[in-house]
Amino acid sequence: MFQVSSLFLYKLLFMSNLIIAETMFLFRLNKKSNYGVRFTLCTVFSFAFVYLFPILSYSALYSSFMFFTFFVLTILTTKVCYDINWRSCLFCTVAGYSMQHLASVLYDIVVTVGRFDGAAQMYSDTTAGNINPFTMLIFVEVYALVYWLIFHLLGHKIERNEDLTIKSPSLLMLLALTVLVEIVLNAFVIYRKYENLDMTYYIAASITNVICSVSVLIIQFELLLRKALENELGIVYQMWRQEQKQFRITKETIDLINMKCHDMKHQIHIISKETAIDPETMRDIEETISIYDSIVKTGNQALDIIIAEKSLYCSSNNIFISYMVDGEKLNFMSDTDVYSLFGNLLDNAIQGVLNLEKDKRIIGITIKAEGKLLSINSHNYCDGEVQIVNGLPITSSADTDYHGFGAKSMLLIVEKYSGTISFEAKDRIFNLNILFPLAAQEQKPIKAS
Amino acid sequence: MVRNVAIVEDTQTEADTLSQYFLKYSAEKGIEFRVTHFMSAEEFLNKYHPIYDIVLMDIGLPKANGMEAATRLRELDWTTILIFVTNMAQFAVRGYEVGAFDFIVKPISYSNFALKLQRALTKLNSRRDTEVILSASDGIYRVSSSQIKYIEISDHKLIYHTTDGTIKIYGNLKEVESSLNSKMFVRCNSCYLVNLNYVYAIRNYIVVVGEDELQISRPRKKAFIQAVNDYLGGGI
Repeated sequence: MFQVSSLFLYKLLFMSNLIIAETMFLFRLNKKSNYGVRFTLCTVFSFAFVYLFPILSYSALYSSFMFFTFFVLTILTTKVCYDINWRSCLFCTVAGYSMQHLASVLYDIVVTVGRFDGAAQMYSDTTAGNINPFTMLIFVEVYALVYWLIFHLLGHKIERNEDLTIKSPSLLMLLALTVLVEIVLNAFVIYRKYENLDMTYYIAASITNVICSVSVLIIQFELLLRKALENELGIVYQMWRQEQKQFRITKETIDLINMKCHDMKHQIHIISKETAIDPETMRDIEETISIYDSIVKTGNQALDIIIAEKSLYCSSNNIFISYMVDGEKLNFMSDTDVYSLFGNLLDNAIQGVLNLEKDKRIIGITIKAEGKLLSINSHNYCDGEVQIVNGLPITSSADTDYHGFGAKSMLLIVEKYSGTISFEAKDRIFNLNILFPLAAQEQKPIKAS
Repeated sequence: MVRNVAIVEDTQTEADTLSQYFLKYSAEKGIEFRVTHFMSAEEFLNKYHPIYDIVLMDIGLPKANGMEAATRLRELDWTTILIFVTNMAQFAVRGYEVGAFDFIVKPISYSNFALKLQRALTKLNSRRDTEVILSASDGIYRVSSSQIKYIEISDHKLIYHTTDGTIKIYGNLKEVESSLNSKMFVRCNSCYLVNLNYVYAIRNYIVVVGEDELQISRPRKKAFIQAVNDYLGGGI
């Protein structure tokens, strides 16, 4: 009868576990065309390769070499199936391998410490005879538990089509190297165990192994998080540059419109002297052309401009904004920062009231100095769906991307001037408070950006 | 607790609308108001008693305009919450100059009224006063918490820095802290409990309370500044 060794059986099992593990990190990423065909062919090829790979010796070095070769094979097949760059590919395969390795070490610990006979010698040349159904059950359970746990803690953080290119390739290589060392060390530990089980040595080595695998996974996802934060910052800076441009354009536009309106008023006056237009109609006409004239003067030019810019939109959407603001006190900030901060503040408030009943579309802004402290408050009704996560409001609006960045942009500007910002939504009223220490501004003049 | 409200408004119908709104708000939120209506600023100011929590004042009053009236009101009473009622939003923008809390534009809708009133009530709560009895070695003092600038602890002795000087008694700062309004009295470090109403400036790790400079401790800095922010901004 055809007899196979435990290791022969295990290498096939290993490959299926590794493919499952890697796919758990990969499945949300960009797939190549004909993904189904590619994946099937690659899987068939991998199993054929593993099946035919000769076991020349039952030693730590040889089995390490063998498992490492299998690992490299999965890197290649991943590249064939997914439309991702090498670094992203390495990220997922290293993560997948670490997870698989973690599960295998934990399983080994369970069966060794629990002294389940006959099942644990997976690396050996003993005949893979009767498979103990009980140990098989433990095997499945340990793997399922570890995979599930790692996926829920870390793996699910990978977003659809996310770019997993870690900035520092050397660090990723170091992680890959750690995985390699783990493979070799683990093989030594296991073969040593077959010869002579020294429980203390075994446990110590296994714990090291577990910690290594977990560390690799945590560091990987930590790097990913940092990358995401850097990206966010990049977007915020991009927004600031656009707002700077927008500020200039709006200012020029408003100046131009005011000039034209002024000219028109003048001309109408001349006409009215020559023809008989009643004063009532005259006033109406004048009011109509004073597009931006009626808008409040706050004492801060940038604030006036952002208010003017938003006022047309607000009046056409029945949104009423009341301002009780000491604009002059904002003069320690650069114009573009004022424009950006209040632009985002107003956008946020407008978004909050836009879908409410008409009579609730009210926004109030107050800016006042108390001693050497400048307090800014904005309040409006909201529909109660505003959630505040990590101190920043998450609006119910569909385009959360932009609004999330708006709040972050505000936070960065406030921090630039040593200020504090807080948000609260209670009883369907949204409040935003900002505090700037004016004394600190005098002490440390901040240059305009 | 009944809130005292003064409406200074020369148009009877407008005043009636406001009174109606107070009744409606009262029915909705279970807060009682005692509303007094004055037809003119003179009538309101000539026999002024500082008993009003909230004053609603029309800016466009005949004779003395609202701004002048507000300035006079501030000479008599610095603490009452003043809300302008106006049909000229442009004027009200500078309401902060006379210490106005906010303004409501005519014609007043109930939603707008309720929004501003809610904020005013939150502000009143954050300034809620308590009476403190202090038995010092030289006698017993009765102090209103709004007169306390800050409380210092040193050698198991509490030093109350009030607007009328200092009072020393034996006591525990933690117990004092829990007995006072937590929106108003906040610790800037383990030995100072500060009345946020007297915070004049903040520079790095220094808070200026009245004329005194107190150290803010590193672990308390964030929470302390946040408390000042919400105290001044209101609504929270």
